[in-house]
Amino acid sequence: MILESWSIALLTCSAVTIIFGIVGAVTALQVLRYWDIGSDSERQIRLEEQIWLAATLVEFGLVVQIISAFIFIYAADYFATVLTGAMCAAGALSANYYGLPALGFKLTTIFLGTLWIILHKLDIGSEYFPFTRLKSFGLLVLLPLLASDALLVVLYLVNLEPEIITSCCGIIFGGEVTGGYSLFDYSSSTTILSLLAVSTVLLLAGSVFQLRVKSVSRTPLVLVGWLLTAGWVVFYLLSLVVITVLVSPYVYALPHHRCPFDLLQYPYVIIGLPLYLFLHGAVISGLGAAMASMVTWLNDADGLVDQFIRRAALLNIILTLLFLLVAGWQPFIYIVLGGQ
Amino acid sequence: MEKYYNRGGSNQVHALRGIDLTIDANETICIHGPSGSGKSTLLSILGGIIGPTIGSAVVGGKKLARLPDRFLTLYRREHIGFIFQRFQLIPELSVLENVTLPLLPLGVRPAQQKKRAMELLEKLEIDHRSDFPAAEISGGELQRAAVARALINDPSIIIADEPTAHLDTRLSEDFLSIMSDLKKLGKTIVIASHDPLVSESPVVDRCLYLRDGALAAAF
Repeated sequence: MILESWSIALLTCSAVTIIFGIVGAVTALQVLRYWDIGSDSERQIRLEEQIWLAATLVEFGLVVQIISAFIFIYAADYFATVLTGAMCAAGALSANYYGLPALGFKLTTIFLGTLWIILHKLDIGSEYFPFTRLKSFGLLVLLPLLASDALLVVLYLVNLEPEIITSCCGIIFGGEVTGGYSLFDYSSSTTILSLLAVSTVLLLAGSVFQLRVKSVSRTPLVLVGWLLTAGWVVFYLLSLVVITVLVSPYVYALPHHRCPFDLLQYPYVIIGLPLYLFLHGAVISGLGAAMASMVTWLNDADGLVDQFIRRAALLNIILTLLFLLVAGWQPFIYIVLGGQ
Repeated sequence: MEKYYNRGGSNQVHALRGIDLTIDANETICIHGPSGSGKSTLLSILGGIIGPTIGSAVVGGKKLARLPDRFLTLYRREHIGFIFQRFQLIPELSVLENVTLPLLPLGVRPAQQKKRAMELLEKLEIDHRSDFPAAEISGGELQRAAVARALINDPSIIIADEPTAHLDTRLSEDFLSIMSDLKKLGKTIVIASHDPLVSESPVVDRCLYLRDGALAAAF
C-alpha cells in the first residue's frame, strides 16, 4: 500500500510539514535563548526576521496539513475498496491500530497550528511583540506532534495489508454490539442532550463573558479560558459522536451506515462539507477566544486581544448555531415527514 | 547603525558604517556624497522602507525597523512624504489621480480627495495639468506632481532622493523654493543630493557628507 499514489501524497505532505516544523523549532530555540526586544544587535534583528519566516512556514504547513487530512480520508476510502470487510473509510482506518490515532493527531496539529497562527497575529498586531516567547514555545510543542502524526501515518500504511479482515462502520460505531469492541456505545438521547447542554453553556459563556471581557481581571480570565478550552474539546468530541451515530444515518437514509467520512463523498458532501466547516470553524473560534482570554493579561497595551476575543466570540456563536442547524436538519425533516 | 546587503555572501555590500545621527524636528538636512555612498540606503531606513542590519532608526521614540508591518505602513502613510529620484508617478494615470493615490487607503471621500489635491496643485502651479496623463507632462511638472503626491497626506517628514538630478538650474531653484515654503510650515526635510545647488542652498540647515557608507564630515 505504501507505493500507492495516495500513500506517496500523504508521505510527501508529512515530510513537508516535518521540515517546516524543524525549521520552526530551531528558530524557536534561538528565540527562547537569545530574544531581547530592547537590543539593537545584529542577532536580535536577525531573530526578528527569522520568526517571521517561521510563521510563514507554519502557515504553509497548516495548509499542507489540512490538505493532508482530506487526502488521508479520501485515501482511506480508496483503501476500503481493497480491504476485506471494509465498506468505507471508517473500516479502512480501523484496519490496524494506527489509522484512527493518525487522523486524531492530524486534526490535533491542525487545531494547534491554527491557534499558533492566531497567537502570531496577536503578537505582530502589537508594537511590543508580547507573545514571541510563548509562540516559540508553541513551535516546540508542534514539532513532536507533527513527528508523531508522520510516524503514525507511516505505521498505518506499512501495516495495511489487503489480507486484513476489518469491520464496517455499522460495527465499529454501532451501539448494539455485545461482546465486541464499540467506540460509540451511547444511547441517542443521552448523547444529543449532552451536546445541547454543552453547546448552551458554551454559547452563554461566549456571549456573557467573552463579549464583556474588558471588565474582568486576570485570574478569572485565565480560569475561564481553561474552562472554555476544556468545554470546546468536549463539544468537539460530542459533536463527532453525534455526527457519526445520529446525523449520518439520516443523511444516508440507512440506519446502520454510520460513517463520518462518507459525508465528504458525493452526493452527501453537500451536507457534510458545511457540517464539518461549521463544526471546525466553531471549535477553532471558540478555542481561539479561550486562548486569547488566557494570554490577554500578559500584555494588551493596544487592546488588540480584547478586540479579537469579541470578534472570535461573535463568530463562534454564529458558527455553532449554524453547525447545530445543519446537524439537526436531516433528523428534523425525517421527524416532520413522519419517517419518510 | 550599520547596513549590509547580502550579508555573508560573496557579493556582500557594506552600505552604511557606524552611522550615528540625530535630526531635529523642523530641521532641513542635506546628505551629500558621491553615487554609491549610501545616501539612498539611509533615506530608505529613515522612511521605514528597509531596516538596518545593526542598530535602529528611532522616530518619535519608536524604533522603525522593529515595528511590525502594519505599524510601518501606518508610519509611512501618516508621517512620510517621499520624493523619488525618478518621481515614480504612474504614467497612465492623470496628474490628479497620481496625487490622490495616497489618500485611497485612508478612506477620504472622492470630493475631498479632489479638493485637497487641486489646492496643492494650485500652490505648486500645475493645476492646469491636473487632467493630463503623467506620461505627457514635462520634467519640471513631473517633479511638482511628485512633490504634490508627497504632501497630500500632510506628512511631518519629507524625504527627497536626488530630487534635482533630472532638472535644470531654474527648475532646481523652484524645487528649493518649495522646500523653503515647507520648512516654514514646520516640516522636517531630509534631502539626499550630490547637487551643489542643493547642498549650498540657504534652505539647508546642515549638510552631511557621506563617503563609503560612513559620515565623513558635517558642515
